[in-house]
Amino acid sequence: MRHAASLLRSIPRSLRIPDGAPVWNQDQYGFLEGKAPATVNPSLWRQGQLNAINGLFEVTDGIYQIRGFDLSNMTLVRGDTGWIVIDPLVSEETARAGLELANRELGALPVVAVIYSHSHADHFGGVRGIVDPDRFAAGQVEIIAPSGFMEYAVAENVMAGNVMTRRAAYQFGNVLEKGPKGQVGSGLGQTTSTGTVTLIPPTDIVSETGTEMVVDGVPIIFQMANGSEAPSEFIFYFPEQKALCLSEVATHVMHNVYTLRGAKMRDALGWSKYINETIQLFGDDVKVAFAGHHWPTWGQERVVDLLDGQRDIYRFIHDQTLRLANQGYGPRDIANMIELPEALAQNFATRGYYGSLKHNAEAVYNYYLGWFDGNPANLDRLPPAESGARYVEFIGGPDVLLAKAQASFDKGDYRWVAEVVNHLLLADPENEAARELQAKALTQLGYQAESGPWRNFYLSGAQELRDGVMPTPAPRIGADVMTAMTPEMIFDFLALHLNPAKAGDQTLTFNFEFTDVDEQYAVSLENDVLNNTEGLVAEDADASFQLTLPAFGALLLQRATVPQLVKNGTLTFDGNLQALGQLMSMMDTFDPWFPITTQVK
Amino acid sequence: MRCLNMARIILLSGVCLSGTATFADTASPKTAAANALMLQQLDFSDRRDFEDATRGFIATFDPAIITDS
Repeated sequence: MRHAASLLRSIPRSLRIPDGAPVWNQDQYGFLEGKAPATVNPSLWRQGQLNAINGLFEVTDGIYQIRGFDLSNMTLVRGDTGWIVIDPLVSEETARAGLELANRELGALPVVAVIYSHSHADHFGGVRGIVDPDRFAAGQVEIIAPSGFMEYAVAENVMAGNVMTRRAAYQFGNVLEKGPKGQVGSGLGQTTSTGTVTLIPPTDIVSETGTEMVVDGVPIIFQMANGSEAPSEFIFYFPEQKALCLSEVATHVMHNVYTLRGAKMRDALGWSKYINETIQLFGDDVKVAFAGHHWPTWGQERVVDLLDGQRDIYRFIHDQTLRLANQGYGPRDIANMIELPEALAQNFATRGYYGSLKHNAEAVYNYYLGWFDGNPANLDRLPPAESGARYVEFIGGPDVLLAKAQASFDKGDYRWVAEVVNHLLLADPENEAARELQAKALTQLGYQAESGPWRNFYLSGAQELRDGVMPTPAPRIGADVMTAMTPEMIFDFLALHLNPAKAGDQTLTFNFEFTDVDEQYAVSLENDVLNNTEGLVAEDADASFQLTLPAFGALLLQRATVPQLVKNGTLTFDGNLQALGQLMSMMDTFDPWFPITTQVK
Repeated sequence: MRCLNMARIILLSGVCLSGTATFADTASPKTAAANALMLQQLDFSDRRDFEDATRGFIATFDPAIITDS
């Protein structure tokens, strides 16, 4: 039996890289060897071993993959004159290292095209690490993406970005040590790299299934999959190699119909139908399938088997959740009732290493029916801290609750301990005995979890209860991503910082003319709401600004002041400048390091 | 205008760096039994995924660490 770590030792070493701050360290997963310890679900352990295997691999003639250098894979296709790179990882450092490895081993070629399979950052963030700026400026690099790419690449992460940041740190276990009692992976990949996230807007957009392109001499046929795993996504097929890129629509996990870091629900039925279409379009004539995560699958029969399982897992969750919902069961009932049929349960590729059957079933309920289960007892519930205090009182006080909970813990009833001790913690976050008992229960639940994100959430919660909130440095989001925000996005994002207690009944009106993109916005405060209207010039504005988008960005990011921008000629204004300061003083600030396991104060 | 500290906006997953604490908790008998049961429920002798994940290997970094220099 060859395990990941022993395999790594046995393979030829070819490259060393310069010293500096690590943005990626696969060696820290060297412990994933041999049998799973009792502190890790053996199924998740196995997935971690697979995801820890790293290097440059040949998929088929002219198609290679960099795997295990980041959360995602980077694929290189040899064209007539250079590389076509699919999905350049999370950050430019890892993508650059991957390209260097490929060039060194396979012969150096320029990158002549990039394909973003979808709008998630682990599939575009490293693009500046592989695209030569001079070649790009000269129009010698084509960048191909599915329709809606730029909008979703930025928008999906902006509006609720701060809370997503907080929850993503739990999902990926960023605060946890890697090890048999800590983070063992994320199911989809081991973890994310920590370099610089970049973005170059696509030069070519694909919006129709059946679109055929020849990229640097390589024919490619596209199938749209917008609204499957991502709002902007496609699958594509290389007819010469009979190779199918499944993007992130079909991987070796049951993926997330709802992702625990927080996101809109995904359409499980639509997702399943896309995969069914993939089988119809390409299933008869395919030799190998690969994706943006995990390892390829070779052979027509095995590819179709993989796709059958992927199609059916999402459809099964969808149909069974709605069967039970239509019989009157609520989301929590359904999560606890739904069970996979044996064939899907025995299929490693449909097990919940990233998603989970339970939270995906609740997601389907939520997608169709929303948060309310129809029971009026749940319509107007007390705030959790308040009902927590009353539960504690009804039970007979904190000591009685803790004694009962300890007895439940001793019986191994950890889910119940988590539920009941949570009431006490919400009522009294300073209760040390409650914090420790809860941490112990969450840890055991984490040790049992098959889903990487479940394990990471449980163990991160336990760690927070024991050591408090531990901030982890934020990713280095490069200027690319920020400048990709449209004025409307920026104004909408600004608007959700407005605190009514600070705004009161004030009204303000501004005009913004963006001279570089020739766009005009009227922005007005009224009813504690900040509206923005494109194309409108408000009369009687408190102030009007004429400026460039980069100047606006610099202003909002506090990299420049109005006088500085006036001086360098990127901003002019008339009216009352202080009105802008007045508006900004009504804005709240967001800090991602709030507590999750206890009440926010 | 700290409110627009967009460097904190995550993209997909964000947030980096490893943490600190190591748990002292051992697996309880109940947890150990649950994990042992999982070994019986799936066919861990099926090694096709490992064959696929290593097929076509050409090279990797040693150490498998990428730096920002």
